[in-house]
Amino acid sequence: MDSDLRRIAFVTRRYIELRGLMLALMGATVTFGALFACAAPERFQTLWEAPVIAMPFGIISIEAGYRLTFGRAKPPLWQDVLAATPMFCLIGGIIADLAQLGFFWQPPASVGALLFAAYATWILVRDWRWRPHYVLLCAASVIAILMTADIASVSSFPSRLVLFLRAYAVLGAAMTAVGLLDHKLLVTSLHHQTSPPPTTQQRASFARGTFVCATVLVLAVSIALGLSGSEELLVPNVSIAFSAAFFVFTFRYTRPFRRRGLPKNDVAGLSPFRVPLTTAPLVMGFALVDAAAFDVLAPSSMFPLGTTLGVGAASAWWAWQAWPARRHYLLGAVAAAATAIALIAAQTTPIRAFAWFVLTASASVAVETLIDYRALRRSADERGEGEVHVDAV
Amino acid sequence: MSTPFEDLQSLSRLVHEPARLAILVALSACEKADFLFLLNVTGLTKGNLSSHLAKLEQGGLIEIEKAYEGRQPITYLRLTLEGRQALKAHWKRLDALRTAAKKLKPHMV
Repeated sequence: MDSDLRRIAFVTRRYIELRGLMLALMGATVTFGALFACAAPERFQTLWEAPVIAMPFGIISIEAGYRLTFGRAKPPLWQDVLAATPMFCLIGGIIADLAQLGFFWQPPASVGALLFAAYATWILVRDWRWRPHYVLLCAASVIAILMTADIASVSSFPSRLVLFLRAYAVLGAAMTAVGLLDHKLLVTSLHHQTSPPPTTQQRASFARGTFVCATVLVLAVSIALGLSGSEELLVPNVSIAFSAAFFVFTFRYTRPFRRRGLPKNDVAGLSPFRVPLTTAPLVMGFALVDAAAFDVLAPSSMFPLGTTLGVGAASAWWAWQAWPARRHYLLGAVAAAATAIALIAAQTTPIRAFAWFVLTASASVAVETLIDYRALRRSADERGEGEVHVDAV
Repeated sequence: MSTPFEDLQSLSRLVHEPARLAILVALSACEKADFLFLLNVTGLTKGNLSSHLAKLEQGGLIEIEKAYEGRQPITYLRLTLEGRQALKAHWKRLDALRTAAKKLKPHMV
């Protein structure tokens, strides 16, 4: 009984962290992107952008899958923020390492690897009894640190980049393994319940997941086909891939509604640009992947102009959809516009252009999220949810 | 002075029953949880869980919140302040009982 209560307390407290398929997807994308950028011919090296941009939307679908299968357990806000540590480590590490690649500063090794080493050690110290598999991530981080330890002696840009990419490929593989083991731990710790027949929303959510997976898969196949064949094959392959994925999505998503009819509160109104909020992430994802594909395929593309404008348009559209509650999302549009003007006006190298894009986009997202967090916090305080929690076991 | 066995009689049955204790432990480890999560984490059947939740709500240890996410109805469960205090007091009492049981001598039985 005692161990059962400990299991219940542990799984409930760490539920958000144990949803490991999201970490696994992040890791797989990082490994794929890093290996692809290392191995692909120069003309196709920027193609890794597409799955990286599609990744957040895959994460949204996986999150919905967990919610519908295992339910919701809302931790205190600070624990919710701590659960996003791997994402912070990855984004922070990549931004710091991009700065390092541009010779802005000289840390002793890859910052991403250092951050992940600290994170894995923290998890091991805290949850050693339940999550010893974090030794894998710790070991991979140490290997990545060793791989990039003599970075100061490498003076040429391509050699530095390859070193970092290999280090991130190792980190990504460990993240995938650890994420899958976290997921296994969650599933084995929860009792299996016989699921009721799926609701319309569940089917729609499944369709969204299918769409994202199909897009990523077909895109990967197209890239492989494009690499194996001539350069001319790439454009038709990508077009076919998007058309096929869009067809799959349209069929899967609209089928339940064709049977029952669209509920009244989900009708988007008369404006053709106003879509239900549940579909918004999907539309944004589709627009961003298209923008990335445009950047990749534009013959003289030196910087991610399409993606920058895509991010700006998506932010503006999101602000307009939920005006005035989310008017602060206009910040993303302003940041993207400023970046686009700066990229057009100043002649810069592609890596610096991409670094600028990542910096401005992530800074605006960080500020927007912070404002959302404050609003959430305020409403939580008003509802009296800020009471101190005691440990049960 | 009462014996540990007499103390055992004074434990709150509302909290001490295994299924209800499991529900309270789960709810004390988070801010709030929905019905589906509690089903998964405790392994109870829907009927069992519903009846235990009703008893806990009657006792004022939890509160039930009905909400909608899109078109889907969700039942959120949350531990009340009274529930947290009751659970904390229960653990303290069990700890005291364990300590007392260790000191127990045969002639006291």
